[in-house]
Amino acid sequence: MNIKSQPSLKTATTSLLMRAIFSLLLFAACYLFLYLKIPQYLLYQEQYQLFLFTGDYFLERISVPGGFADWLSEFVVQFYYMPICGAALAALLLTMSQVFLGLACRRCALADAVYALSALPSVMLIGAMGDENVLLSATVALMLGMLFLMLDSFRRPASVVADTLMMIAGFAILYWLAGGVAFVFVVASGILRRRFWVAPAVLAIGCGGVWISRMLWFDQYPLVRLLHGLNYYRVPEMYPPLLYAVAAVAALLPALTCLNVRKSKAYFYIAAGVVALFAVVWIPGCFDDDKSRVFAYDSLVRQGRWNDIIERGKKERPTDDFSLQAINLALGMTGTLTESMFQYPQTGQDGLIGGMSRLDNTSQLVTAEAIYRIGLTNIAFSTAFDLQESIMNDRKSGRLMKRLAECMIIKGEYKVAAKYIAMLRKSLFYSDWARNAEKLLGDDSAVEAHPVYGPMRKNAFSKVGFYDSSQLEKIFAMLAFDSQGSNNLALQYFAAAAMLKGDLPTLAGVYNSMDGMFGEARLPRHVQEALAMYWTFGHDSFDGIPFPLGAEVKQQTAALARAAMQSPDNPSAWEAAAPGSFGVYFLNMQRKSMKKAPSTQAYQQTHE
Amino acid sequence: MIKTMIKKNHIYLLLVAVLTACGMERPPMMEPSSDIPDIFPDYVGVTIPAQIAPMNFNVGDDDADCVYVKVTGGKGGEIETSGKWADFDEEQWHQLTARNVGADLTFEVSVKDREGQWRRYAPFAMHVSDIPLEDYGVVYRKIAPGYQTFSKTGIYQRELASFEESAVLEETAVGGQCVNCHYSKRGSADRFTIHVRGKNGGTIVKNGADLSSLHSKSAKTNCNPTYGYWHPEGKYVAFSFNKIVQNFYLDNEHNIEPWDVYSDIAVLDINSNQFITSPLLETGNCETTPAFSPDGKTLYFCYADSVDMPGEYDRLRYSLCSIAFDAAKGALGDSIRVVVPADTTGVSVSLPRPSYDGRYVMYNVTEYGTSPIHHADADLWILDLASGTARALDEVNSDSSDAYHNWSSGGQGWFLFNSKRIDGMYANIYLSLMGKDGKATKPFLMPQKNPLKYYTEALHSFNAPNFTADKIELDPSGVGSLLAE
Repeated sequence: MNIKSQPSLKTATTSLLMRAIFSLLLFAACYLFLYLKIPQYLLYQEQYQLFLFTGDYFLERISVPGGFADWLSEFVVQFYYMPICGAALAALLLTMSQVFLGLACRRCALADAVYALSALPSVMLIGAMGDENVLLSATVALMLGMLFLMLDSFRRPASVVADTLMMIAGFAILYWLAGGVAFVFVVASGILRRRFWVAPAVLAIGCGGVWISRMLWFDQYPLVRLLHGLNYYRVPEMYPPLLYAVAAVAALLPALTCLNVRKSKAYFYIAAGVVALFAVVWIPGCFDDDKSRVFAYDSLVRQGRWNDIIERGKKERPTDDFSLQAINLALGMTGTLTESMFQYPQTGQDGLIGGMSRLDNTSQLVTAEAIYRIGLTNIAFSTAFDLQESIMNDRKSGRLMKRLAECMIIKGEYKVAAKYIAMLRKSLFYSDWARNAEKLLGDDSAVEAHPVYGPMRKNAFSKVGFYDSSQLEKIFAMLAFDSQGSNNLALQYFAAAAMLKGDLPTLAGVYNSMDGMFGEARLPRHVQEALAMYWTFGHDSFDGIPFPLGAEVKQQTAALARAAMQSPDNPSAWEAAAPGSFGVYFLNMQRKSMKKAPSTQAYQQTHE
Repeated sequence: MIKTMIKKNHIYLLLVAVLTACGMERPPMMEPSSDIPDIFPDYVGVTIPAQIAPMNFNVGDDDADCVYVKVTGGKGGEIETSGKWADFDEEQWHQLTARNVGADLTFEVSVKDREGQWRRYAPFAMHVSDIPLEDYGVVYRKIAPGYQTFSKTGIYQRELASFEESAVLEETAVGGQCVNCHYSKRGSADRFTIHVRGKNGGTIVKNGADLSSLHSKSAKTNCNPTYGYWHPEGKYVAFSFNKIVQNFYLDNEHNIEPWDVYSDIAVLDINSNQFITSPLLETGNCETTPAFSPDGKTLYFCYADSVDMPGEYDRLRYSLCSIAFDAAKGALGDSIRVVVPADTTGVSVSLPRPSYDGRYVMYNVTEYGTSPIHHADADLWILDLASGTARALDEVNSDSSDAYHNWSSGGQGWFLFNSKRIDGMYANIYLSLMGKDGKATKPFLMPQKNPLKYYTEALHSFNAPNFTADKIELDPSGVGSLLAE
């Protein structure tokens, strides 16, 4: 007996080791991918929820089907605030799904191979993360579904009636905990138990049960939405095909246990290879480069990593408004916006401050940050408020809630600030900030002495007027004047907005009227370029120009003038004459808007 | 056998006594201080209807170890409670208020601090009015006080006699579209309209058993129906069609200024689904917030000459006007009467609401503009139609926005309104009674089970509240299907 069992034990041990190594590798791969390749996606997810450690929060979540998965998911996602931790937890969930599914399918000739293939749903879910609206709830729900499947697989064979009742009970509990994944459980369980006719019947009963629950308790939700699960996807009533595919693979993979083939380790290696190949080939295509870049800039803005943004901008030279807003803000925060902004491919004012449309929860994030830091607290508050309200699954946001509280502290609206701070105190990663902020409530002198909020309150807009995105340069100019030079960011943004709009008369007018008001030793480089260009429109030399221009700027402006005259339709020649200068941007802007070079012509005429 | 039963009963009784003693912590005998307690909400000296839910309250900043409250009725009866806050038993409360109609309830409050020291406060009273509030509850939209976007929103109803709230229509039932103001025929639960804004939006008209969807826009302005008011006979609904824009203030004192580019008024004939119009109400200027008089013969509305907005935002002032309406003919009158002129009063009027007994018109007054909910200076005013005199309702007004008032359907003087007085941003519902002497009672915040927790944590405003005579029964899926057609 002992002699006979030796090889069997060895085989089992080898199999166990192979599986353990496979799962560990899966965990490591998931972790490294999430942490090193897509940390910006993790931060993006985290900023659209605010997990609270309260009983009310838990009860609110579990009061709807699938709510427990949602709650657990949000618990995990809060750790995305620190991607090094969040990635580990998400990788753990994905690995657990694989382990549970693999173990559920352990009783067959192809057990090892199926164990490896059971990673497919998890791999697919990593790819699904490329769609930022796929929530971790889907992963948690799959994990719970597979956990139920595994637990069910430990149950001894039973009668049809017993199996049916167990399946119905499993469906009901799982549906309540994790939502629509309960259907996956029923199908997979039906296959594993070879109850091919029971499963459809249970599915029908399950649908009926959901329909009845809707009639009784959830009449405000469409039936289709209830059947799918309420919160796998951030956008309600949208059901991405990839999630169906994940569900189908998880539900039908157990069908492989029906195959009757000879046991062989080779199957495991082939299956593992298939999974690895699939992951390597398929996953990268799921992550859109533009989106990844936008998320990366946003996450850097959120963390205030200005130099990293500038470095990234130098390498990538993005032309989308969102990335440019981030780069310009970083330049502004480091005091170099009007020194070096045209070294980046500027596209206009929208690359500085976005428009007023707040109907999605992403495009205004950097604008909201810029507006806040410039000191337009009221606009920053309303922008942040709308951004939070536009979160499609009706969640609140830790990042935005904190911003709302900050704005209210600056405005002196302490009661509203207290409401937001009280909420943040119940979170994990915002509670320290909230505790400190709480000390400022009602204490005007403490706020005025605060290194960030104090100047913002002091530099607030003093006149009654309305925000107008078509008059940004004037708004920033008034803000800069109001602060008597202490709001350098507003001054930079004024000059940048005027230059990006090509509004040189306003730029010249404001700088003319400042007359050293702000005590600048020298005018910023791009401002000099713009003023020099504006001067040349009406003068044939720089004699008498009321602005202190550097010799290099004068030379470069003259060189650009020559290039524009000699090559009116050749932007490359302009760039060669005055690389990274305002003049080149201006000429290109005029050329694009008029589809010819009217300003160049005007330029030529002036100089002729 | 009998002995055993007796012994068991004794044990049960002992257990009950022990449990009761543990549950109700009473202070030792001591003299009360001269201070009345600092309670939230401020219910000191308010007048309440006997039907209202328990007027639970918190004491101080809610860090007391124990609050003990004994309530004694002027006509008899007594209840007590103890715990973290004053949380009265619903059944006992209603028995007490029913017994004390027309009398005072005296509240004796004692508080135990964290050191175990008790303090007994001077008693205060609430008066139980002999005028009933017969409505089932209030209906409102819950929405975060945002600007261009919204998240979870819906129309909800709250039973006034309890803390039970239920959804009438949530945005989830209509494909995530914005669910907008609910207007009913004098609080009717089966005659009302609800706007749904969005791709498949429309105005839901519930007229008895009929449920229909109105997709009309005004011919002149191409705007959706906005503010509505039912004719007392139930055959007509007056709507204003407003083209609303918003401007955001740059300074930190103000917030937002919504205004109408243009607006006009038309009356919907429910039966024919046709609009009754008048050139007097489609002037190209701003006519808005219509409201029928209780006899149905007069249509009140607000009118303003268009000004150059947003530059002249502080010159936009609305007058309260009226025009005759002939329900039999379905015709509007041929002249406008200015009831409260903006040019002489120097203020802007909005949201007229005639009382159902025909004695008053309650309206909003702000320095300028048409959106009182966004103006901290917004106050309620009352026009006595008999004497023609108008005055600010200082008994109920606060330093924050007070707006969106409505009368109870019973027509006996109870009214509600929105106020942002708690924090200046989130609007909550207050109730008051207009007495026969023309004075309103001190308003009280709509009671909640744990009011401090509720109002501190709530991230929504109660928008456009109104009374509902009965519980509204609306099939959300029917509305969803109707809009999808």
